[in-house]
Amino acid sequence: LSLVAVSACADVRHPTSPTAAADTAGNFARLSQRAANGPRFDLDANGQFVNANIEVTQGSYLTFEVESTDNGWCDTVYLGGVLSGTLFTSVGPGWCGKPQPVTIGPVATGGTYTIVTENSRFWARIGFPGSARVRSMFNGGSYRVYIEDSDDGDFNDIVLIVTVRQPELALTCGTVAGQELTKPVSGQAIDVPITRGDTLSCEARSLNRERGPAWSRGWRFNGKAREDGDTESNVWRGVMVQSGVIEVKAHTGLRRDPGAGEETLRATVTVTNRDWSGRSPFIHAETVRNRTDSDPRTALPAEVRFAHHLGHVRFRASKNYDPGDDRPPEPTAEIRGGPNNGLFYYRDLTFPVYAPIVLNDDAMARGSAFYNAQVEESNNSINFGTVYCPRPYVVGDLRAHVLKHEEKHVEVFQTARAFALADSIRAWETRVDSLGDADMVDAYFTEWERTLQLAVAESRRVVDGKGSPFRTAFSWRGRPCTLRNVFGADLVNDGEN
Amino acid sequence: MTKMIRNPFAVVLVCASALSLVPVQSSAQDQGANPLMVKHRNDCRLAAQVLIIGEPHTKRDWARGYIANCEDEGPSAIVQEWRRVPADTAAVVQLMRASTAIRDMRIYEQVRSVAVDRSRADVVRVGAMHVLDSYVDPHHAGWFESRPPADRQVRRVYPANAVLAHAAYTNGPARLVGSVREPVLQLLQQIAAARQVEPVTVWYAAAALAKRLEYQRGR
Repeated sequence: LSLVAVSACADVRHPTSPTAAADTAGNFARLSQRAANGPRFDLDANGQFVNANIEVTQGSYLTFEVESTDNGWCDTVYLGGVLSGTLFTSVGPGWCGKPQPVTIGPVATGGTYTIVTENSRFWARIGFPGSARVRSMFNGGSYRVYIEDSDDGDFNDIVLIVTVRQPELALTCGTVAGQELTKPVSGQAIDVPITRGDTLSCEARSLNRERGPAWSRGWRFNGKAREDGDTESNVWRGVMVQSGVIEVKAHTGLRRDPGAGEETLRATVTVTNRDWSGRSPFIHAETVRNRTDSDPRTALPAEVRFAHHLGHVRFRASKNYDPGDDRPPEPTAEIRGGPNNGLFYYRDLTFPVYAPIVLNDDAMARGSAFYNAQVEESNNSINFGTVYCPRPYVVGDLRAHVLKHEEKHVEVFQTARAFALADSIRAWETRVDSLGDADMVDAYFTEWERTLQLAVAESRRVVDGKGSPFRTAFSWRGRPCTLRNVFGADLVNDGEN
Repeated sequence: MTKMIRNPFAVVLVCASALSLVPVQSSAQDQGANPLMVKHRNDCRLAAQVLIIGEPHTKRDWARGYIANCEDEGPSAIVQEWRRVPADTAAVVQLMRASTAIRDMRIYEQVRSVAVDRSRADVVRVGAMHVLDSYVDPHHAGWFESRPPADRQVRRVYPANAVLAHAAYTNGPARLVGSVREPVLQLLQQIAAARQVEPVTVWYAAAALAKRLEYQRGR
């Protein structure tokens, strides 16, 4: 809601007038009555004009005129006032003259505009304080306030005319979902919130079909001229990562003619941070079969010598396991097109991890060398105090025990990474670079290695550490037991033990 | 047989194997040792023999795999195998597994020389570089991630970034002392920098492995 203070001042030379203006006869709206889409005039207790309320939409233009139409008994009128803090005045040409109309706009925000008289000045000029009466009418977009300063009842001593011209142009911006805008914001000066990485589409539109389409030029973002695509397009679209002000000059018409009422439309885009809380860090773990043709450093051997030959987990920067796609995910992206054209940003800070849990199913199968290395189900499975796991255990619960152990690695890894990554995500969310992403990629993978190493080390400490309850443990019928490796020795975790 | 006689390692190994078999079996019987252990020791000797003298050649594939379990006999045989492993991915992969399963200074020195030897096949050199990488950190993996793009149009080198939760290895008799991170990184950087003369599969793998080490160190 903005306040408009208008003073329509009259130097009254002739306090009375013989006739009423023809255009007002019979057309006065009742005071205090709101015409359809028109102003509401408020009166005081004595029926005196206090103010007029006019509802306008954002981007509208208000033209104020004041005149004295009292034939033969003209007044000298002035026009002045304040609209949204800006003083406007228009000095009349003299006695019986008509001041130059004053047009203000586009108004920054829509709402109800209140036109008030500056009472002291107004009444002082009229000279008959307390006696002025007002009538008004709405006619084709103009609001007229007829002010009577005497008792002749012609209501044409002073006529205040307020013409509201609806905006002809609007800048409409919104986030693109598919081909549609979600919750578009429209106006000539708009605020557009958007989440970093989302695509923004702004379009200069004509709101007056009769006048023709919009013609745009001079798109700018934070003062920098558009460099991508057609600079005279009505649309500017692209991924947003940095806040700023989008500007475009536009006009309506049947042809491009910048001189014909070109206006500057603005959108203040506020980029907000992405919410990583529900997505960080992404990890995809799944159980896969041991593959001898996989990474030679990860394939599990047929000769099970250590407990960790029964299963392990591998962590790599990837969203999924695709042997044909060995690249880690691109951490950065370059924005192609739109106000943030050419900027690099971190597309993903979640460091997606693929964690295949590899189980040595061949070794844990009946008849394998590992199976055969175990004692049979018999009474002699206890040797010198050591209870050995029998063969049925190898093809029974062993797989579940190994899987549980590996899943614990993943669980601890996940927790450790989330902790290590929190600072990075906070620091990197807003980072952009216009010159290239080499430093950003280096930073990303440096951090990747740091957190990966930390997380894996933590998982080893927690899961494989001596005394850890999660350390690979074998049990048969509720009692701890020991397995043998294929070479007849007791099975230990690995060579590091 | 002619080939075996020409090889001085063969004579030594065959004699050593023959002499050692009897006492091991005897000891096993005396102590009630697990026959699997006895078999394992004999198999290690056999695998080493096959790799060093090349006979019987029908057991070559088996020997390349089995030697990974033999930390005593393995290093010498693995060193020998690195000298002549053909440009065959399966063979190199087997040798890599054995070399990473046993950490030994002799293997380390040998794979260093193979990695920079431009007369060797690309896959052999790449395999050697991966072994060096594993000697820096046995939890590293990344065989696939160190391959250049299929179209060989390298726009960016990605670090080999796979990590293993477990590293099941044993130490050989000639243990590595201290970290080999810096010398390995320097070697990889040297290969990675020679893009004009090195095949893309070689320099890319070196760059991918080096990047990880650089990132770990913190740039």
